[in-house]
Amino acid sequence: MSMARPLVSGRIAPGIEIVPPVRQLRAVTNNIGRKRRPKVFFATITVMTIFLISAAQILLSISTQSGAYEIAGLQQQVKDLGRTYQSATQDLDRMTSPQNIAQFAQALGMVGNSNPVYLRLSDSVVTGSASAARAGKNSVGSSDLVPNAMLTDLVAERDAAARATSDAQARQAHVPAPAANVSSDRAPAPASATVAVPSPQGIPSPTTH
Amino acid sequence: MTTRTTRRRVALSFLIVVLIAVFFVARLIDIQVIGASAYNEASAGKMSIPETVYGKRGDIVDSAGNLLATERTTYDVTVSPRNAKEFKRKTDSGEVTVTPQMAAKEIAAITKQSPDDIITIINDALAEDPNSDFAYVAKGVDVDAFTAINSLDIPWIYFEQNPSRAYPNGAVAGNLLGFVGSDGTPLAGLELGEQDCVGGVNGSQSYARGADGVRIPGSTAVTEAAKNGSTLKLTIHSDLQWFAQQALAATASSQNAKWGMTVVMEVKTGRLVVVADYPTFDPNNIDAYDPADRGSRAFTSPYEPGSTMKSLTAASLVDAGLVNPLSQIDSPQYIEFPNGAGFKDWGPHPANLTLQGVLSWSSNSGISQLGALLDPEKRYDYMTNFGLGQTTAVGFPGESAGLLRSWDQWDNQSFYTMLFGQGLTLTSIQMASAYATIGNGGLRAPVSLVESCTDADGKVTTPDQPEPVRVISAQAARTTVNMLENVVAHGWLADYINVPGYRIAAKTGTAEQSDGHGGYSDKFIVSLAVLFPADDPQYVVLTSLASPDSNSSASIVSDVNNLIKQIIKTEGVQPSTGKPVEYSDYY
Repeated sequence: MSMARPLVSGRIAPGIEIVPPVRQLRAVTNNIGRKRRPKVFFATITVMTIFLISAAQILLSISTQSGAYEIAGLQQQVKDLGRTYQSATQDLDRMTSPQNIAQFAQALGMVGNSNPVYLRLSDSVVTGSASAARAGKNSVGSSDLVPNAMLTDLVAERDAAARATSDAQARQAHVPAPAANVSSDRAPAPASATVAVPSPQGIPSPTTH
Repeated sequence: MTTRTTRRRVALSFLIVVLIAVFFVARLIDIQVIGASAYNEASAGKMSIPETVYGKRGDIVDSAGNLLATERTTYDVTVSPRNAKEFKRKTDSGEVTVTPQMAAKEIAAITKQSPDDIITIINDALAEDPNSDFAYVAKGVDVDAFTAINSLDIPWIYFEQNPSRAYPNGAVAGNLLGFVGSDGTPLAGLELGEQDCVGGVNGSQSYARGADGVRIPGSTAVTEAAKNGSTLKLTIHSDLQWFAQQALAATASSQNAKWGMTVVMEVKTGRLVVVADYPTFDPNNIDAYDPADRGSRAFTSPYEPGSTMKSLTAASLVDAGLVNPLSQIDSPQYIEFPNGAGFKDWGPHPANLTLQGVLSWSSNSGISQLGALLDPEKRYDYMTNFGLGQTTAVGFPGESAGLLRSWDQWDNQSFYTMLFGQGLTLTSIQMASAYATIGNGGLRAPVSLVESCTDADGKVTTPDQPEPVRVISAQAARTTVNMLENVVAHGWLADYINVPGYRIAAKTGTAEQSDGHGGYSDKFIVSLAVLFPADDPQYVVLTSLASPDSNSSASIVSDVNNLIKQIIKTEGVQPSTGKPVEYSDYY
């Protein structure tokens, strides 16, 4: 404004000085007011937009980032579960092996009877002679004849479990009341323990018909 | 002047601008077009991490779907020796310092090593290179051991994972399955022979990783897709296979036999239900076995079969219409032919034998006189049609065709001895197939060991099999089975091969075997071939044992009888109907 006056007064003839300043003031004031409002508005919009974009980008980046961590975490979980699955199926597969089942069956006192006897329904004829299975007669023999290296750990674990059970039983039997001088954390020598699972040789022959 | 100078300046500037632009465009083309692939490669090498995607090797299952071979992940435990120092571990009772010795003790308890070994591994690596960053502590530990070691949180222990092969049933069918090398290459048995089915194809992919080691989402690029192997289904019944192996191993070891095999085949289909070998082989533990024992002798080791061959000779003669079960032949203890060939029978027997008597007494002199009635060329054709001298349809790796010389190359002695199984060799599988042919009304079904191959999409492919071969007439086959049933009934076998309710046909064999120096040794290969039920044969059982102490097929008969009973129970074989046809041994 202060710049406008000398410029205007310098260009207009001296006789008509009074009118132009009035007109000028009004016009300039109005003009400047009108021009400034949109500038602030747009500036605000621009700044806000930039701010919003940056914020959105940061949020997006954070969510992508956390998504990446989540994916990595879930992938790790998949891996861990896969390992658990493998460990479980590995145990299941080797437990279902014929060697293991035969050992278990023998340990439980089961004896194979290889005498098939049939009853023919049409004429009620019995073919074959029924005879009782006897331990030893149809024994499947020693377990190392058809070896299975995958059972080595399993057998060791089973023996350890059997020993632990028999130890516990032995402790219960021999030490009725917890005595102060008996340290409970020391396991009795395995040799003195009675094995919980009967051995195939030592079982009484069950009579089956 | 001024205008010209200005023009020159403008022109020069323009020229310079154009030159610079041309230079930039040229460089751009160089980078973006000409050298693009090299730059891409270099950038990929710097930004992305390549990894192998393992194509899983297919499972091998038995006829009931029981797992015989499968793929497992095993882990190699590695150490960074230069970092193997003490570290802090947070426990419930506060922070504790763990020394390398303590850590080694923890690892050793899991890997079943000695703690000193682990310390030695670290020290040796450091002695060689003080900056050593890598050494193996243990190779091929299973997932349980991996989880246990991993949870110890030892900062200088790392793992490498590898696909490896596991055989959950151990030595059950181990001789057939074969094995794969530590790098997954199939080396023997069905693993090798059926590689097209079970073999997986490895693929590759790459991904980008952030500075924090986390994979950048969406950056995985598959360069080559991996292909998993298919599931191979065998015709083997794993429970019977185990039973047969167990019985064979028990007898063979008590008889100090060198080797043995038991084959069970379905008569009508040629499917192999059991192929048991002794010594057995557990593919989980390859190094513990002699390389010679890692395969299946039933397929790969032919031998002179001996008297079990007489059934084939008799069947051919009956089919050719030259003899019947009651044909009479004077069978002396020792015989010498005009061409100079001569041999004797095992034990004393009456000389007035019928063809039935020749089989019952297993007379070499009798069968060789009768067999000579048949034209040599025809004899050769019969043997070829029975499947001798050629590999079976199984195509087992290393399978032998046996030795069957062409009829015009027979020498004077083997002209006769081949009729009772000396002077030619065949595998147990070939002999079982020949007996199955007799049991199947003279029709030889192709032998099969593989039932199907099922890929990941569930598409099932069955192996191409040749057409069955008509070897002898159904009538001749029936007559031969009847004679073999009389062999059991008339001799010592009746006391051993005896399942109430079932009619059984069988023939023993006690064969001389080569001593490796052009002669015969004093140890024999004893065999027993059985067809049952004799009224409508369903199964062939063939057991052979090399060099048993007893030198007699009596050593294997009770095993075979137990196996027959087991097959009857397991497969639900119906009891026999009808009465046996009786033929007299003498005239």
